[in-house]
Amino acid sequence: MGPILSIQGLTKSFGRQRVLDGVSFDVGRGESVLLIGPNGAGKTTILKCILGLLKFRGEVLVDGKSIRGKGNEARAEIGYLPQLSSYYETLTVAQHASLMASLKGVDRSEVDGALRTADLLGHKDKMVRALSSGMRQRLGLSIALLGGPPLLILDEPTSNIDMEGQLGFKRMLQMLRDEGKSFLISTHVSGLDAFADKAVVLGGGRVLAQGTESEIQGKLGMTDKVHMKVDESAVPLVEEVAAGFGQKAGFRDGWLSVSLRGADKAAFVDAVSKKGVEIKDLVIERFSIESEYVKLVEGKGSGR
Amino acid sequence: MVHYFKESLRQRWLIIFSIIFFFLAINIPTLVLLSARYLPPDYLPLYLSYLVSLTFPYLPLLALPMGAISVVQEKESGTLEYILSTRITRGGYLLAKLAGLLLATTGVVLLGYGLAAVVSYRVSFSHYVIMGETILVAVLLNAIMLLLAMLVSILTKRRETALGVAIALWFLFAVISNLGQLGILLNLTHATDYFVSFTLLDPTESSRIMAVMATQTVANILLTNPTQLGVTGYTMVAVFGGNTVYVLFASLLAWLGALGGLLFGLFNRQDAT
Repeated sequence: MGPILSIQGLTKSFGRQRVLDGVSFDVGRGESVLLIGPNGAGKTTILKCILGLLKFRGEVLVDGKSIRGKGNEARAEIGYLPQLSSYYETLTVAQHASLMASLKGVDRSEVDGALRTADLLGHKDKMVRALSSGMRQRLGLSIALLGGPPLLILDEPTSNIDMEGQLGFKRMLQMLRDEGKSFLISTHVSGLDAFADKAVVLGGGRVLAQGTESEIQGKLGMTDKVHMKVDESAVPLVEEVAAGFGQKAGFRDGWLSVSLRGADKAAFVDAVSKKGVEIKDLVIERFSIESEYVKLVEGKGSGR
Repeated sequence: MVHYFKESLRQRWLIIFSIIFFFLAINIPTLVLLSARYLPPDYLPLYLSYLVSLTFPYLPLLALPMGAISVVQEKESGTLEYILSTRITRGGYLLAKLAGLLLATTGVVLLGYGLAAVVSYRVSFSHYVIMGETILVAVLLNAIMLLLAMLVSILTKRRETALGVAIALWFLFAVISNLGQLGILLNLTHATDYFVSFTLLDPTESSRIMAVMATQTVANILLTNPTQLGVTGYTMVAVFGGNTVYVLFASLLAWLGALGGLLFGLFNRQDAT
């Protein structure tokens, strides 16, 4: 079986402004993919193209079905949570979910189950306008889950909710992931990189890099950081070791920092120890796609 | 569709318009005269033509604002993209929206004229048939205005803009159009062709003439009260004679078809945000 979502050469312009330029990537079955980029990178535009809300050039296949040719069937495979959950505010939670169930062609008996998954069953008679931002997001997720779509598309899912809400929301995503759902999550900063199997990094409407964390790290020469606390007298020795790895060490406030790739980290610490340097403390700062995406965007540039 | 129907019924404008329209249709002075037995027994056909001329220019004021904000407010709030991200097609969405609004506004038209007829006319059943024809033309005009308003709604990005265009369109059809026609008549030697074209391009005026002609025979109107046809109606009768009603009806159907085609065609082709 092919990927649950395949995007090939996606190109979109608004007037003369080209906002997506030949974007291509796949989301495998059961895979969680993070769509990363700064505001204006084209993340939401991609999601809207996938849903057939925008006209575009290129091809979008959802479970092998073209969103253009078989839009209804393709959309039935998708559960969508928009960035700003827009609801009919004058309805209750249950009424809104029932309305969306009927639009999705799903039996209304499924509504209670979806609300239970989102921990909203106890609030089903509440008016939508009375919900907190976290609850609104959970309502959005419960609606996305109606009909049991295999692919969930979430647009900046944690950007409008507080820390507590974020934690609950992430737990829910993890549970759904364990059930085998596939995810495409757009984010600029969400702390979801631990959740994702791979990432697609966007800048200026183009894919700057894509793959697993280590693949992106390798492709773009991104490094982890080793921070070690050593005596000031040992700094020249450590700098010498770092030079052996082709790196420069920086010393600040008693901490010495060196940027290193993958397996070099262990070898470096080992080499420093062998020089007789006492390492008082050691912190390894792992490369994170989210934390590095600004560098990716600025460094690689989009030409736009 | 049920959702949109209920939503339409909740709109303040629909409620306000219903009340005003009812009082327009009921025509209180006539009610007073009727109760004082000052009205002749066959007053209804004559009165109806007055009623038509009085109320028809205001009919678009119901559908135009409601239709104009219908889609654009969903664009603004984001519910449009939410709904279209489900299995529902764009055509299905638009049809449901149109049907809901059509039901609600048609209900107002039916209630306005119907209740007024029951309350004030208290006439024989045959007279209700005449009233029924008037209502049918009103419903047709309402449907045209609703399609036009929804076209405005899908082409605009902001609710305020849509509302402004809708009011401007009403002004165009109800006021400027008549002034324009009068201007043509007064200033051009061979004005008839322009005049006919202008009238056919104004569904409010076309339907008004048609509704007036439905209340009694043309001969009777010309004999008893020719001013009720207006300059436009008089010219149309002079040009098309006995076929005037058919020509007007065809023009209204053409409006319906053209606007419907444009609305669904454009909505299917445009970005849904």
